Amino acid sequence: MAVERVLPSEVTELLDEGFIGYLGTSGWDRIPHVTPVIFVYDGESIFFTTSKLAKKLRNIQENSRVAFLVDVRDISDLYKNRAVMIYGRAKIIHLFAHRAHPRLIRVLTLFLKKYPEYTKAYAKTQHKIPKVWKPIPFIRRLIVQIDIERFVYMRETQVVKVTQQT
Amino acid sequence: MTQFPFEVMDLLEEGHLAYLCTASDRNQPHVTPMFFIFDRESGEIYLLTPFRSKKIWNMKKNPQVSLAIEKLDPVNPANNTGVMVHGISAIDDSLARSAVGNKIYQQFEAKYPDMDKLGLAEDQVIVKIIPKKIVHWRGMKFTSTVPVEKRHTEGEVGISTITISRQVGSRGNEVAKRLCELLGYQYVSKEVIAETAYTMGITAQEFVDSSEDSYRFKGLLDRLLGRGETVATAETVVGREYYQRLKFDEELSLGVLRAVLTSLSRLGGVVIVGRGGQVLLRNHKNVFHVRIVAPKESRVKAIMERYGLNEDKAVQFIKDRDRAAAQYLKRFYGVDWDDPSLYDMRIDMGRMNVEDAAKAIAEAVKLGKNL
Repeated sequence: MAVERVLPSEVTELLDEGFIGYLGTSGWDRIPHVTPVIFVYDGESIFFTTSKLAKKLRNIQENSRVAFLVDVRDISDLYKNRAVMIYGRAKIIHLFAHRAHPRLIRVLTLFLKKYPEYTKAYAKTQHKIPKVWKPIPFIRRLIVQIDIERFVYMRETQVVKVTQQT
Repeated sequence: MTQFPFEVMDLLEEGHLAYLCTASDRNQPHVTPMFFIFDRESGEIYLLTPFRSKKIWNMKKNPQVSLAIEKLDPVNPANNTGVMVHGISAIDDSLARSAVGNKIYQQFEAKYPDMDKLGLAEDQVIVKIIPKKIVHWRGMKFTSTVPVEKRHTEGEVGISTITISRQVGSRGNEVAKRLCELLGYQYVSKEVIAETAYTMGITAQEFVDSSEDSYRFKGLLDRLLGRGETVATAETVVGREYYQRLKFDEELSLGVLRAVLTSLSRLGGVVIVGRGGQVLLRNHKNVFHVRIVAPKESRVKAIMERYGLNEDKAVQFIKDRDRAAAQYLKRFYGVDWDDPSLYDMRIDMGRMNVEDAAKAIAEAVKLGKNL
């Protein structure tokens, strides 16, 4: 399914702009779980990293359906916002098995560009950053790819239909 | 009054937005930004949402929800604080017209003065969320909390829970019920356990009650399948699968049972009959364990009366039940049913009637409180 190729510009803009995304997962226990994650969008899929210990990873292994929300708004005016919620399927990428994959190298570069303060500036104090936030992969970290299946675009709490470009 | 750490309370009060995650009946998660208010007194979170929305649809099917509330530090992300609340939602459309509902609306207006700008839908309903588990973080430090409703004041370590293990036909159930009347405690029946499991986020299907009474069948099956080799290959495969599933269910429900009993005992004011309570709540300071036995003749007589059996059948019935209960405790907890070190008190019903036995236990519990 090539939905990602026809995402409207409103949505792709949001995905590029958004700093933090909220990932909703639900495992076999059907207890929803929502966590903030840092993420990048490579023009096709969304990528975020996770610790092997995280609850969200366990949920994804049990149920690959996820929801991903990017909400862009200014704190000075809470009521003006743009948001997109994405329904998708999460796929876990075992980094060491695909280390030389060009797409993944691109994804890592995107991470470094988008979150320099999480990567470069904190490289010294790496041990202090919560495992969940470390974008620099190490042996315990995995990259998760979300393949976009459906999306809902919202502006000021109202769902807005945005047309897809062909 | 529900207790939260102060840091969590502040976050819940100061946070502007909550990200609500629900799951559909196909287990598809759904995340939306929401305005919310937090009521410090009841420890509950309230949301306003149109009745005809996906999240309401989801919550009707699966009341479990999660909320993430964050306070971001624009300068240093290591100072970000946030909280994730897992809770049970309740949609109450009658709330909107009541005084409580009015109060909630006022609180919403106070927190979000410009909310009208958004042109709220006509069919707004109030959704109440009762937190069950909370994870909060400041920068790199994560802490997990389970809000506990406290019926007893802190510092009081007196006995608030009683477990009763009884022989079948010893009239232990009657003693337990009378004891509840005397102390004003609640009798924990199967239904109470299932309900507690439900409010803790465990559905009835997942909760298989592996009680002592039904254990004999499983024990038999277990022994039968345990032989393995003598059964034909195809059957073994099927049999093994079933056996494994059964064992898994038993272990799962045992964990559930332990969690339920522990949470009940923390609340206090309960009398738990059977279900391995004496082992699951062993070493809990506020729990008092009682063993009720009776002479064989009176047990046979009681069973004959209760089930209308003849003497031989009643003897056999008692033998079966005793063996099942002993096997159950042996297999899952590795203890001997009659081990006196498991119990704080042992009552022989051959020497007492129900009323006296209940009074004796109540008296012992009161004395224990004075310690």
